[in-house]
Amino acid sequence: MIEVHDLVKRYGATTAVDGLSFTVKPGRVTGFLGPNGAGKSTTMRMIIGLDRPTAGLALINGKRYREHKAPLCVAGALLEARSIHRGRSARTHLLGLARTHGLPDGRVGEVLEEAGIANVARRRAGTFSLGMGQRLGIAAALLGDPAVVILDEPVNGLDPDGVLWVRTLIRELAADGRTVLVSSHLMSEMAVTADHLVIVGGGRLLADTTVDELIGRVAPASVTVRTPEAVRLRSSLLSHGATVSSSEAGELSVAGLDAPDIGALAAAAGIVLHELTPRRASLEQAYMELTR
Amino acid sequence: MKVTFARVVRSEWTKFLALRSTWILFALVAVATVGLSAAIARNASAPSSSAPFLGVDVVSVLLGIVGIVMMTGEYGSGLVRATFAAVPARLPVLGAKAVVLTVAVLPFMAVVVLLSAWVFRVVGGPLPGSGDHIVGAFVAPVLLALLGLGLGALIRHTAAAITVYVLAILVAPALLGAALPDDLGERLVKYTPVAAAQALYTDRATDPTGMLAPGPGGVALGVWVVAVLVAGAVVVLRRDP
Repeated sequence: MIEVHDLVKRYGATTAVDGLSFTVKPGRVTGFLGPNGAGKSTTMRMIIGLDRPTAGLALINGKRYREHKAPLCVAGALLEARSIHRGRSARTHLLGLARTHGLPDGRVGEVLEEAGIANVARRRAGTFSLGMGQRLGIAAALLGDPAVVILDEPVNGLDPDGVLWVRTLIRELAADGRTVLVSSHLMSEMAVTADHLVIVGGGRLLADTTVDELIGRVAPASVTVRTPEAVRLRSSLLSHGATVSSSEAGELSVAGLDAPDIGALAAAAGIVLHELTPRRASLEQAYMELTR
Repeated sequence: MKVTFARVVRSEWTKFLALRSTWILFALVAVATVGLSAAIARNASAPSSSAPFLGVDVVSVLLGIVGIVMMTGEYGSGLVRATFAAVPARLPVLGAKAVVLTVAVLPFMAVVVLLSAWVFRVVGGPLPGSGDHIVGAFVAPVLLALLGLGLGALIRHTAAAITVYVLAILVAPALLGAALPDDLGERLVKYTPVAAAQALYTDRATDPTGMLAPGPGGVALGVWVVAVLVAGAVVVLRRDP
């Protein structure tokens, strides 16, 4: 569990994070969304104790990150910029981290295997592609088998295989009961992985909600209906409280009634339907609406 | 599982040995010290006490850079974020690096300096100076390496830290005498890190006023090292990586 209370970070005159509060619960994937510069990375660095908050508090499992005796076993983080010395191999990079905690060397082999980079473990990290660097960063985050996993833009630079791997991994981590906070500026990515959303803009909280609720709130669902008897159907729908608009002859866009209701109404009135399609706003549309 | 200082030292030791630059710089240090000693033994007609260890002046720069890069390499690559995420208290990292640097450089320089002395005797005859100078010659570079580590923590940027190190260690002392009024410069020069370091392995009979005795020289250098390391520690704790 991550609790963020009234977190503020100022750099001179600019305010990167402006009184942010939210809670990340275990057992589900929480997407941390916002445009570039919204304060996502800064917030994540403050949670991990790398950046000192100007005000406010971030707690992991009830304590500040730095108060934990074995922090890597409590929370693992992949931070946006690379955190690897180019001159060391993936293996020695991870060994260096593991040994601070007295983790067995065998654990390094396990996470290298899990991240799919065991075959390049002895190569200098300077020769790694962006995707391999990203996998190494995720391996480092998993090293201490932490209950809280924080990933900043994990699919950046990954090929389609890697993207799929990250998606599956994130879902599995949450299914294990871990707390998972994943940042992204890619809505489509969050739409398929996140259960819960924390959306920020300009360092402030814009929404703390579920994917469905957000889409429903910002852009109500509608149903597209095509019928040769549009005029008759329209009056029938209006009398049942629906809102109807039409962009072309024979096509209606209906809000306020769902597809089964519309179908039943049409059947009762003996109206032939050619199409009955529920339309849902995409997360992307909802997000654009929210951050506009 | 928990973070302990001994474990952080072990981690830093792993990281130190895994870098190619560590081995290259150490090889350069060994070749430069022993090679210069042999060349001087062959060519000097009346060698001074520091003659067998003139190479130490050169390697002190290299070892200072080893110390600098231990810290700035973390900041430059972004590794420092992973390191401080693993050791959020941060100070144990600087302490562990100091331990690793000392444990690696001290025995290494002892061997290199003894080898230099032996080569000097084989090539050029009896060793000038006293046995204390041999100890001074391998302790001084360790202290200068630690000074570099402190500078690295303080400045965080490799090129800037090396520039400051070279200017402060090598160039500034030479300018002090000329720049300051009367003999003030001359009286201060001997307290600069490089002059204090040289006092540890040079017979001051030739220049009794311009150089500290080994004891005070060691203290002066020690004060420099502690001051810079403390300043570096404050920056490590205070500034966001």
